[in-house]
Order: sequence, then C-alpha cells, then structure tokens
Amino acid sequence: MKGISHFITGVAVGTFFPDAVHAAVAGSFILVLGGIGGLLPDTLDFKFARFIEEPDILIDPHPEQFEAQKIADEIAAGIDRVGATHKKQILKCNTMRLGPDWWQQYSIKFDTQNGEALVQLGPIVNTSQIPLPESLRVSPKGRAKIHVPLLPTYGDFVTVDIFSGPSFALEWRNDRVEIDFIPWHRQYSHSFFMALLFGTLCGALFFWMDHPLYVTAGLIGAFAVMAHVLEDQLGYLGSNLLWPLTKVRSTGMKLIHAGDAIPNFFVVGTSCMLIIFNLDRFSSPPSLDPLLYWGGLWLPFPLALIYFFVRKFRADVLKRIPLLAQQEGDLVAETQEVMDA
Amino acid sequence: MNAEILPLALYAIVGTLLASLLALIPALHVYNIAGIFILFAVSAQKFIGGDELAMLLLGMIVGYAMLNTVSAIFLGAPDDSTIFIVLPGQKYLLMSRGYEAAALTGIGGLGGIVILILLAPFAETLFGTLRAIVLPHLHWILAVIIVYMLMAEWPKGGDRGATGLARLWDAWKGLGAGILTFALSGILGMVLMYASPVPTERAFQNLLPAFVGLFAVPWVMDNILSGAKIPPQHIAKTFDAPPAMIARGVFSGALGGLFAAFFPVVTGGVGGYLAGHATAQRDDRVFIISQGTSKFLYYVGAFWLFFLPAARIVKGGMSGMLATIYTPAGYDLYYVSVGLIALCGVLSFFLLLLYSRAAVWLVQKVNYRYISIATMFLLVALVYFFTGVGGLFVMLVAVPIGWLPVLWGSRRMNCLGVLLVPITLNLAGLGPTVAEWLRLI
Repeated sequence: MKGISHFITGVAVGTFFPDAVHAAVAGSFILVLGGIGGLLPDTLDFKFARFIEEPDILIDPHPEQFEAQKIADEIAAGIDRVGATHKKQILKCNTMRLGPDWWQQYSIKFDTQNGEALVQLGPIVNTSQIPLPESLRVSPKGRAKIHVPLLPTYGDFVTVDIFSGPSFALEWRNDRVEIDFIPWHRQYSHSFFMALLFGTLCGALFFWMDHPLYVTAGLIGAFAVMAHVLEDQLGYLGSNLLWPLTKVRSTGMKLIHAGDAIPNFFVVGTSCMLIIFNLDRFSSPPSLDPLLYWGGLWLPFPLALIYFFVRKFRADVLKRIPLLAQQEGDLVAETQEVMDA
Repeated sequence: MNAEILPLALYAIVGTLLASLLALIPALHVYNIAGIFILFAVSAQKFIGGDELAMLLLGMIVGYAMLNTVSAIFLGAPDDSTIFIVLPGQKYLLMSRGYEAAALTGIGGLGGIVILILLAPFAETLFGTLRAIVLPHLHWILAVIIVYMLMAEWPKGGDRGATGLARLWDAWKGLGAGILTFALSGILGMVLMYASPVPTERAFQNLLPAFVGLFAVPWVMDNILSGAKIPPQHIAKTFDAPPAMIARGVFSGALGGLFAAFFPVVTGGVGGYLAGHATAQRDDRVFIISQGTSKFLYYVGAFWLFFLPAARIVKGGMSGMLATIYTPAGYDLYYVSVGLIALCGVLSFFLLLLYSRAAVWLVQKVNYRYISIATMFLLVALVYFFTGVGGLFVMLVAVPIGWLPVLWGSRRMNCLGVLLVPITLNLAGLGPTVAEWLRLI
C-alpha cells in the first residue's frame, strides 16, 4: 500500500479509543501517534535500513564510459559465485546523475528462462522520469550467460535512473539461486516485534510525561504498526512477521499490488470515513445516521473495489504471471512510489 | 431577485477583469487588494451595497484563482498555493510547452466549477455536519498533516559512501534540511503572529513579506543565477489529455481543494498534494490538472462556503475580511453566487489562454534573466509598498529559509510551517506558552 494509506489507517485505528478521542477534544495530540505508527515501518526501511546495507557487488557506472557488457558480466559472475559458494551476495546498482534534474537511465533484466543477465542503456530522464527527447544513444546491449539455475523472478527490465538505485540479494535456495529484490525492505520493521516495541515506547513516553492515557497511547502505537503490517499482507509479498524468530519474508494474500490506485483510494476513503464516524460517535449527541452514512455515503468505495477485483481476476487468469515475479514487481512499484513521493 | 442579478453579475465581471490584471503581478495576492477594497467599502457604503461588494470580491477571487498560474509558470514567482505548479510548469516551459501547462491548470479550474455546481444543493448539509464534528479536533488534524508532510519526505541521496554511516549522512542531509526549513519557518510564523515587525495598521498584509521571501524570491533568484534560457514556445491547438485523464485530475484536485477550502491553514497546494497521494497520481498532466482544480476550489470554494445560508463557514482571508462588515442572506444569493462563479470562471479561462499567449510572447522576446530581474524588483517594491521597512525585514529573514530547500533539494512545501505551526499551536491552546518560550510575549 502507499504511504498515505498506511498513515491514515493508523490515525483511524487511534479513533477507536473513546478516551483518546475525548483527550483530543481537550487539546491532546495523542491521536497523532496512530499516524506515526502507521508510517513507521516504511520510514525505518526507506530512511535507515536501505543505507546501512553493505553491498558485495557494486555496479557504479559512469555515464561517459557506460559498458553494458561489462555490467552484465559482473552481474552474471556474482550470481555464478553464489551458485559455487552458496554464500549470499548483495548486488547494488547505483544511478548516474548528470545534473540537478537529469539522470542517465539504464536497465537490467534477469532472464531466468534463458539463464542470462541483460543490461541496456536508456534515455536521459528528468527527476519525474520523463525522457529528454532524442537523448537515447545507440549503445551496445550487454548479455551474459549465467551458469547456475535461477528461481523465477520479476521478468521485465528494471530501470535504474533517479535517486538511489535498487539492490538485490542473491541467495542459494532449493538448489537454485533466488534473486530477492530490495532485500532490506519488510524485514524486522514489518513484524509483530516492531508493533510491540513501538507500542511500549509510546506507552513509556506518555507514562514519563505523567499522562493518564499511557496504556491507550501504547495500544494506539502498537495497533497502528500492526495495521500497516497486516495491510501489507494483502499484497503479493507479505513480510517477516515473526522476526527475529524467522528470516524469510512470507507470501502475501495476493489480492492487490502496492501501487494499485483503487485499493489505495478505498483504504484512504474508508479510513477518513471511519475517523469522522468515530469522532461523531464519541461526542454527544452523535449526529450521523449510521445507515445513511455507511449504506449511502460509503457505498462508492466498496463498489469501486468490487470493480477493481473483477477486472484484476480477469486479467490474472489471462496473464498467469509467476508468484515470485509478482512479488518482486510489487517491491519495484513500492520503491518507485517512495521515489515519487 | 431576478432584476437584481444583472448588476450583481456586472460587479462580478468587473471583479474578474480587475483580478485578471492583478494576478499577472507576481506574488501580489488578491487578498492584498481585497483588504484595501473592504477598507474603502466601509467608508463608501452609500455607493456600494453589501451584496454588490460581495459579488465584486467573488469575481476577483474567481479571476485570481484561475489566472495566478500565469506568473507562477512564466515568471517563476509562486505563492503558497501555486508552489506545486511551478516545478511541473517550468519543466513544461523548458520543453516548449508552457502554454499547454497553463491551459491544463485552466481545464482543472473549469472542472472545479463543475464540482461546485454539482455540490451546491448538498453543500449545506455536508459541510455543516462535517464542521460540527471536526471543529473540536482541528489542532490534532493539522498536526497529523504536519507529521505526514515531514514523514513522507523520502531521501534523495545516500547512494555513495564508503560506510553505512556515510551513506546515511548523505541521505539525511536533505531530510534534515527539510525539517530545519519547517522548524525555522514555523518560528518565523510565531514571530509574525506574536511580535510582527509589520506595522499594526497593515496587519492584514502580515503574511505577504513572508510568502514573498519563502516562495517567490528564492525561485526568481534561482532563475537569475542559473541563467535559464527559455526555448521557443509552442502554442498547442489541442491538448494531450484524454477525458479520462482530465476526470482523474479533476477528481483528485476536487478532493484536495475542498479539503483545503474547508480546513483552516491547509492551502490548495497541500490539499492537492495529499489528494494526489491518496489517488495514486503519477502523470505530470494529471498532476497539473489536479493542482488547477485544487487551487481553484481552495480559493473560490472557501469564499463560496461563506454564502451557505445556514451553515455559513468563514474560512480564508477573503471571507474573513468580508465577514467583519457584511452577512450574506438567503438561498437566492447563494445560488446567484454559484451561477456567477460559473460565469466568471469561464470568462477567466479564456482570459488565461489570452494572457498565456502574451506571456509566451514576452518570454520569447525578452531575455528570461531580465524578466526575472524585473520580477525581483517588483517583488521588493510590492513588499515595501504594502508592509514598509518592517515587511522588508521579514522578507530578508524569510529568503534564506526559503533558499534552504533550493540548496538541499528538499521540499519547498516545508516553508508552509510559517502558517501550520502557529495556527496548530494556537488551536491546541499552546500558542501563548510557546511564544513565551521564544520570548515573544
């Protein structure tokens, strides 16, 4: 889900606590904790974890001396090395910045069917990823053979252009090399442990401030993080829910992709309506008629969602994209969303 | 009432034509002039009635909401509500498509008119009920918006560095600059609210020098220093925006604009930004259209709410000033106001196309650096004219704060701390305490 969906869900979670709503009327900011908790998991990942990760294979091309074949060779050699040593490697692809708003795009592809790594130069793009007209140079493509079997993964070209480039974990699993996109994402930050930790911190902070609602503050913080984690389970890739007991990200419910507009809009709209309903419900006297509110005003949101699922399942039946590819595609989309934000 | 509509319509059209000229002067806000008009109206009440004055101001705000795009895109001098349009607008300008960008915002504005007409019969129930529910909660809702603005700014660096800490520092430089910009502009806002150097008799212009310093001057200086060259511009006869794209932009902008029109301090740009996230926008054209809608509904919608017969919501500078001397009455006037918004909006759209052509001619004939230098002189002169030496001082303090995002590549939206911080604190009852900490009182 997009950041705003998680954030507003966290705020909505807080409004289910009547004492928090009453405190808010009296001037408290306790409900803000829900928003913070709602966005915390992605904040930890995209503002901290991604920079701490140490790459083993660093692709850092120069725009004037771009050699696609050399990059493809480096990537293929790295994958072969994992096959030979069974030791995990982190592959990081740096971007090429040309100026304040201009970037030289290139893209890489893991062709798991033919066992090849492919690299090609793209156009010059601005920070909104709009190509500069006629900036696509003629440049030889890179193609290198991979000599170990690969697990199916995201099958399209992954573009490397603006801000920070993507990274991949190359890991030996079930006698094949798995290419795990953006391995620092949805690990410890998206776990029950994080919900517990943030809830405890919120409670402790309010206790220290001598605020009577320290238990409520803790519960709002914990449930807001949990809401984020659970919303992410709706996608193709879940998260490492039981960290530190487990080390692998689970498979999600495969219902939506992170960047899908209608489900995100459904969550934001429903959360806003829940917030207003709860604020009204816990004030006296309530003015909203629940039947009219949920039966009439809310109706466009579930109808839009039904329309989305009907279209999605029809498309899924036709496409039959492998699960791993969908998961990695989801991660690519989510990272892109953060770049665009 | 019918016989009275014609003169009211004439006043509204005059207001639109007047605002259309004022909107071309960079950073000159319609509220600056409206304030003078209202002061004038107090002493000239036998010449102009309350309804006539209200419709004159309505026409002005419609014209301004549609046409302030021209100075933002072609002169690069934005204000608090056009700050989001400048970046894609100037990008379009550099791609020879400045006229198209201006027209797309106009299409967004026309979409905003349609939304207002559709909402008109239900607005009283909808906004009246909503206001009753959220009124005691405004402080934390604004705090939630602030937290989201700060948390949803993601790092734009961090690729290079020998160690994790070095990369983290590289990534956090921009984020830190964003937080610093917000904090400093927030403190500036507190100073302006509690110990403004702007003379008391010009208090209604209090924010003008801060906005000019935070938003307009850094952008214009950037254009002067970078020596940006404007390529030959193309006057498009058709627009590369299919109906579905326009609908998406208008829908998203309507959500943001109505949110901004209703909630205190939230500007059209911020409303559009939040709605853009909520509706998963990715296309520049959708973004520009949505900002056009959002900006239009932010200004016009807020004033329109003032005419709601029973709910009468006073939000925004225009209705705030007018409410001191006038109270609109009845459903007739409400629906007349809706009709005149549509009339003046359509007129403004055609004026927008006309003025954009003139602006295209200007940026092609005159060196853009000279235009930017002239704009800079105009900005300084305006600040001095409206707020005196005290205002110039405020502007000089605001400029380095507004320059921080330019230097560090962080979001310029963080400058809105100048509004968000003092108002949020005051709504929570903490304003005087914080002002005391800052030794402002």
